[in-house]
Amino acid sequence: MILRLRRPTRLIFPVVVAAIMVFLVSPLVVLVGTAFTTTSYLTFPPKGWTLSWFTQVLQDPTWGYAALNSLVIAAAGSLLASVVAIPAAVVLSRRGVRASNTVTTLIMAPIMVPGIMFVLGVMLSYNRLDMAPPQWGLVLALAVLTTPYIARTMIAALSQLDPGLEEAAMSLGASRARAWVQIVLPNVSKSYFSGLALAFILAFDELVVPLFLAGPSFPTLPVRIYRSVAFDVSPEISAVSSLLVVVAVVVATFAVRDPSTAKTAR
Amino acid sequence: MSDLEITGLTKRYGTEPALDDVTFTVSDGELVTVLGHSGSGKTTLLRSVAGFIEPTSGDVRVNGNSLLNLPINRRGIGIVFQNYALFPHMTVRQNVGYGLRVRRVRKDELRERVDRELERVQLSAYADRKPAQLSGGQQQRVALARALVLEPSIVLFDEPFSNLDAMLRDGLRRDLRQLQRRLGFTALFVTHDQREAMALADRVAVMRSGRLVQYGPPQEIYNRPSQVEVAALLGRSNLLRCLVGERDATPVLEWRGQPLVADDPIPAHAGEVTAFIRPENLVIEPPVEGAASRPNVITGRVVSADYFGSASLITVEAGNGEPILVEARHNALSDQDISVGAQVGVRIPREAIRILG
Ligand SMILES: Nc1ncnc2c1ncn2[C@@H]1O[C@H](COP(=O)(O)OP(=O)(O)OP(=O)(O)O)[C@@H](O)[C@H]1O
Ligand SMILES: [Mg+2]
Repeated sequence: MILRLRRPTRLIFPVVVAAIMVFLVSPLVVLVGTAFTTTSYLTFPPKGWTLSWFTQVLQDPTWGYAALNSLVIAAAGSLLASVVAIPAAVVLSRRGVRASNTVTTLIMAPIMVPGIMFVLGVMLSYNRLDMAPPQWGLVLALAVLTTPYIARTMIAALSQLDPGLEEAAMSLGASRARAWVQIVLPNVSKSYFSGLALAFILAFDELVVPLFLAGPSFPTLPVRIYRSVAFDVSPEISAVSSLLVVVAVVVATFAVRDPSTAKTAR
Repeated sequence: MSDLEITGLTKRYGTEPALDDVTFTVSDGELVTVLGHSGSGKTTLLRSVAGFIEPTSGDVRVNGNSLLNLPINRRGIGIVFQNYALFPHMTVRQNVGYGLRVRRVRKDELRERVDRELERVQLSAYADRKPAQLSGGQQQRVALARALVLEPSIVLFDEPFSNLDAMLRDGLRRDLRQLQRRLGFTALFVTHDQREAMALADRVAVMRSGRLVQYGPPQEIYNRPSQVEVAALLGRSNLLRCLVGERDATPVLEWRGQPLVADDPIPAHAGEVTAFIRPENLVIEPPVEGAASRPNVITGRVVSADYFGSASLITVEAGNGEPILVEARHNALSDQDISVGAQVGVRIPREAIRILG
């Protein structure tokens, strides 16, 4: 889409963009900057210049353990979400499916419900069942939270795809299942991976859910950060956070790759 | 042998019929075009035959066997889509080979057949390109090759040329017709372009509001339309509302005071009928004194004349104030100069008049 802006708007536009950029980026700059300070407390601009906070984090096995936990649950959660979201999107993207709007809204519900309410609900439910939240309960909860993101991107991608592709494949002898596997899904795979990356980052960064649902023996990275911050704020936290930013940037690079470059002959 | 037999085919959405009791047969090796305005049910008809739509009632048979209970992928019908529907992630070769791959055809045979098909549509040089790297016309040919490589006995076309420019369409249309004659498949071709419908067809099926209103060879559809709407769909025409009178005990037509004599039988006790005359059947003559009372000769004034090279389209305002459209052919040897404002006579040959109800 080409936006033609009138002159005053054209002048304001860059200013607004710059303001947003500053607003978004400056906390990151501060955060990363404080990780290099030689002081034992957070300060910006950093006093001196050292990598010792980073080496300390990388050598501390509790950080590594927490990171590994986060990685595992984020991966398991977003993959489990895919198992639900992909078939749902396949059905919901078809035209003329009854109650598809209602079901779409339901799938989107986890975005709208405040996270803390959701977790409390989950905990109360386990209470009613008279059981402690199981290990995999954490993965399950993260899957619920991330399903909307994968479903959304998949529904968008699938409903943009020419329905003629599936029909063409079937007219050439393919079964519906075969048409989906060989023709439809390969043409939405880029969208899927961007949805998956988004879900992964969200699950990885999630604090509230593991805080309530995982026992102290199973700290995730955000929980570990939260606990350390609770009693002292050292530049170690900044170092961890900086590393997290790097991970997020790497994953997001995949996510942001424009799915529309997956050329669909429409 | 593959006759395609459509009987009583009806599709209702709610109570509105998109397809209303359509019956016709496409004989083996015949190419039938389905012509109709937007919304007349052409796509619904085609998709019902293909199996994408389940008709409310009626039947589709090939050689006497009903297709309705066969899933799409077992009907063995080739389809060429309007927007090509090429698989974007596959090369031209993979697209064309897809149907053979599904059928588990041996690798070397697959390759051979795909190559032959690509050669037939002159795309061998583009075999390894992706569809996005092809022009519209080339994509269309890939779509055709992809359907034809399976040697289907019936092929359906849904406005396959509508996204292409006129020059390209003419060429592709001729190629398609040649190919269809050579391979001998039975074809159903949907279009809303009357030129295309007539140029391609053995027979034309004219649809209107979900019904089949006329079915016959192009010449018949063009010259003997069954109703006013069919006449209007197939190019320019004069549709003159006439009173039916009587002279010497035979019914005669009177068009706003102008007597007309026609060879076509006039239905008895019809108060009013429409006389249908193609503009190219009218003859411009020098004006004759006192022509007003002579049957089939109209005197009038030229109000517009559009020159198209091979012909001019002339609007004459008759003495009774009604316009009449004349197409005058030109050639370099005899050329009439018909200019706006001139008084002319227009002769309506009696055999050129068709009476529509
Ligand atoms: N899924 C549907 N639900 C309801 N009505 C429909 C549906 N599909 C088609 N129709 C209606 O059926 C009628 C015939 O539609 P169809 O698509 O067959 O027309 P067409 O002749 O192919 O028109 P066009 O030349 O515009 O492609 C139209 O009035 C259309 O509104
Ligand atoms: Mg149509």
